Amino acid sequence: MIKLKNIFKWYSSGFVKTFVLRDVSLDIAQGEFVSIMGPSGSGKSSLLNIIGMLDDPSEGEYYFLDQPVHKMKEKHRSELHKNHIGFVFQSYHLIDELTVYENLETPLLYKNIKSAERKAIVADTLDKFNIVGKKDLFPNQLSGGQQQLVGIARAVITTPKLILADEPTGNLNSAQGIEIMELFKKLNEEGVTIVQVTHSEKNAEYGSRIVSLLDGRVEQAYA
Amino acid sequence: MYKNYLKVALRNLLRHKVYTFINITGLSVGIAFCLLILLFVKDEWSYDTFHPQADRIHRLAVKEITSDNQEYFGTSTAFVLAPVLKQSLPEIESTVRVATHRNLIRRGEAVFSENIHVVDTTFFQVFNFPLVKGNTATALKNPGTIVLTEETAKRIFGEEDPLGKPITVQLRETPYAFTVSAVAKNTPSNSSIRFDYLISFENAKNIWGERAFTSFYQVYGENYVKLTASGNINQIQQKLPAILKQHLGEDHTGQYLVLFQPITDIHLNTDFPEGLEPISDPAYSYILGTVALFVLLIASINFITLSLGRSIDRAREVGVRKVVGAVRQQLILQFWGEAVLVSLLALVLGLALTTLALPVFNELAGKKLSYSLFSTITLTSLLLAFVVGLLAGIYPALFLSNFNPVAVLKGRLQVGDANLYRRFLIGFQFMLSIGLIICTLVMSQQLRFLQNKNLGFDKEQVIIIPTGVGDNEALRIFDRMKNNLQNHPAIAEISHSVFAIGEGWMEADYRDNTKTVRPFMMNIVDVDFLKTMKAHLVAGRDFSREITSDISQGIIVNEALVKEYGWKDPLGQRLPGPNFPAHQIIGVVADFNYESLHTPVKPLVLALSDSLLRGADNVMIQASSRRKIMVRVKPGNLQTTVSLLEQTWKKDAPNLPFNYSFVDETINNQYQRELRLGQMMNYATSFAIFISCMGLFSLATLAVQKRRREIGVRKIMGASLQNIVLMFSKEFALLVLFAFLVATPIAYYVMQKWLQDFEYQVAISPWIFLLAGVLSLAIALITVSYQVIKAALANPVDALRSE
Ligand SMILES: Nc1ncnc2c1ncn2[C@@H]1O[C@H](COP(=O)(O)OP(=O)(O)OP(=O)(O)O)[C@@H](O)[C@H]1O
Ligand SMILES: [Mg+2]
Repeated sequence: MIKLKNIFKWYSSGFVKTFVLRDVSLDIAQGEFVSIMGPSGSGKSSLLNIIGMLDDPSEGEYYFLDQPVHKMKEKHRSELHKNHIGFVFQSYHLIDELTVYENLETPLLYKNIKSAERKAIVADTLDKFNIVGKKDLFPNQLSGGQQQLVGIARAVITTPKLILADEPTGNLNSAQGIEIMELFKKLNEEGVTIVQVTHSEKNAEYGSRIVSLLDGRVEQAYA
Repeated sequence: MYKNYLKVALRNLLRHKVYTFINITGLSVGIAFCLLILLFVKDEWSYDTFHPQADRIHRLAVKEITSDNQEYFGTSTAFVLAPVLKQSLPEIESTVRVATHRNLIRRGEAVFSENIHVVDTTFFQVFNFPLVKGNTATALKNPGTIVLTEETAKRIFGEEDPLGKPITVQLRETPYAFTVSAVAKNTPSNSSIRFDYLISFENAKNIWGERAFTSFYQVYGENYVKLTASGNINQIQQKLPAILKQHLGEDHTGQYLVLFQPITDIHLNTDFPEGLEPISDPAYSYILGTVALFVLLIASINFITLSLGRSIDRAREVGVRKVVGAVRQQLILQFWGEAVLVSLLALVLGLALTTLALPVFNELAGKKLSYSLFSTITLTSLLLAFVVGLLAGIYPALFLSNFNPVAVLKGRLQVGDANLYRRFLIGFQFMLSIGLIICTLVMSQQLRFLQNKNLGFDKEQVIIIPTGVGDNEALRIFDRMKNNLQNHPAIAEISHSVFAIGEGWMEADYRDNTKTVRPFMMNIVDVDFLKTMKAHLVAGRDFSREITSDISQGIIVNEALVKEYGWKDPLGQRLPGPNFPAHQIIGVVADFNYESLHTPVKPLVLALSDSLLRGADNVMIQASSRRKIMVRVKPGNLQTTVSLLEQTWKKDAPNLPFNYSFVDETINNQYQRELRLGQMMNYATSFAIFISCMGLFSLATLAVQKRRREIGVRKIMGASLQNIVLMFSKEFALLVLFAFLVATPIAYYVMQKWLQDFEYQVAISPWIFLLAGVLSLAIALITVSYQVIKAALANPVDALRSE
């Protein structure tokens, strides 16, 4: 599903290039649950953003579903992104002015889904995540765990093939964290590919594979 | 999708109430101000357009240039003119003459002093003045019929039906019986012909005499012509010289030009002299329009800067929306739509404000504007609000939608460029405010100067009572009143003159011994005139009752006249014309401003009788030449003095209406245009300052909010309150300084231009600029410091913990 070939990412300030990713090559197959680990500043988020097409690599090739993302026009790329990828963030990033219901509805709006169908999908998702009772609340009326639940629900509502999660449990207590990880496991079992960034060994164990980053390079796993 | 946008927009507006309040009130004040000015300008520019085929109606003006280059230019023209031209020019379809005559109208016991329009029977064919009662074809057919407007009919007849009722109209000294033949609608406010009464032109000979119908040199009214559909002014102008030559006679020297002024051009063309109705300066429309746009611009800038200031708040939403699939166009549309929404909300409030403010505005503008929701103005304002929303929203929309989601969601957002742009906008806003402050200050200084300038006489405490009757009767009334009043403790002096201060005095010209045409101004006065006015003699003596030759021979001239003739010793001199009867200068009065301060003091002759005029070639009279009684009262209760005058009048002039005016008020009325502009400028400037202050206040709030942590850290590191306030104020102070440097020369230039309208100008003092600069700096610093001090006084630990 995902094929990264010799990906480099650097930032230049003045004449100095700061390398964030160095020669990263990575293959992720459909249905995998991959955990990316590594010390702070090692480039985990950068890598995830490139996979999620939020950011471009400075060099290298990226194939998504066998299509060359690095050669694509902006419009095509955002179509791919919109239809196949869901994002989950450490700090949830819900829209404060929208209710739970409306937050869930937003991605569907951008996919131009008709009103009746939209209603059905949102109702389904609310049901599935057990948050029907919270649908008219605003994000600041929810606990962190509940907010992250909504965040994940929003990520999966468009039935993406791939979910990218950047430290999804980073702001949660351990009980909430376990709940979220169980949810990811269940989604993975339903066939969704998941790539998560995590600092926690325990969370990483939910996944099927661990990719370790150090200083922008993939550390060879001795598995 | 739009519902989603609308919800976010409305919730954002509700959540940030202060910000919303500032945006919407600012914009709505701007919009309301623009709408009022729009109504004003529309009224000004629509003058006389309500006549059918108005483009074919012209007023005749005459420009005479004598062989020695003296120029006479007037829109009051000879009664022969239009008929003579119509005879020879097939291009002229019809002609109408319009003249006014102020005299007494009686109905039973009641007497009114009224302004009567004397017009040709073609009046109703050429002009569009509909009747509510009566028939336009017959209303003026009979010389003994009179047409009243609804308003006048109500005033004279109350609720009674006036049609067919008798009414007595005095023409010169003779009362005539008239019958009301029709009632006309009140003349629209945007008409250059405004009448209360119409009588047929047949009556004109009883007012101005037979000669007025044959002479090219007696001018009493306006001539209008309506051209045929194919009539062409250029063709007419080619034929004119031959036609005029025929009527003026072969021996006529110099030029006699007849100009055709389109009727729709009358109100705003200041190149032509004023006719029967006051005209207006188009510059005032432009000035007010510009000022209104400034106010709107300042409000729009608030909108932009506040949107940008709050962009950090909205950045996360942008990031999230992009991550869940929004493309940039959709976000641009969203934020742009929000801007338009805000301006439409402002429009609703603006329309309400317009309706509320209209009476006050009418008072200020001296107009009778009306506003209805179902008019083109509403449509225009909708468009205006839309454009404001689009223009004010474009930059914030582009700016916000451009955020990179990765950077935003990581909180690594750079807002550097927007800051520069914002600074520029705030600077611009200050520039407009400072400019407006300077202009307002200069204007009010000039107006105060006009009102306080020493006019060469004492304008306070003088009451003018127009007699409204012919000379013999007027003088009889005066003698009786003087007898009754002169020893009354409330009365200081009593006198009379043909023309009062504040109205146009008569202008005469004559050919001197070298055949050069020499004009002078003149007034016919009473012996005590100068004493009553408290004007000062600089040489010779005042008129005297003991010296009988004064009546026919003594004249007093002003310094301007002495200067014009270059006399070292003016006393005993005479005007060097061969036709003047015996006369001599007995005194010289110091120049006093008998006309408005727009014009210099012209050479003036004061005499006790009109005998001198026998030697004049032309005499031009604009105001009523009926005597006015002038009373200087002693300081005290004016109201009781006025009633005393009224009681005396009722006794001494039974059956005549009592009217009065104060000289100082009449003088102030000469500057009404300027006073009105000044007052509107005051309002505009207050709005502008208020709106920019609100904007600045909320910007400062945002700036301080964003830097609360920094303030906390600096305090912990030992910064004092002053250090922190200074840090924030420096930026704004620099902006004000910059704005000041740009605004000052522009405002100076504009005001210099405006002052050129006046013969007597106040010197623009540098203090005004300094004051404007210091004022805006103070306002800016107070606004900013309030927020900074609040933040700086807070416990730094709180600020740091909350991050
Ligand atoms: N816009 C940028 N400009 C310059 N350097 C950047 C930029 N974005 C990221 N970096 C640098 O790239 C490196 C990798 O950042 P990244 O966010 O990918 O690390 P991370 O592994 O996710 O760290 P953490 O565990 O703290 O989230 C860091 O050293 C960071 O300073
Ligand atoms: Mg990270």
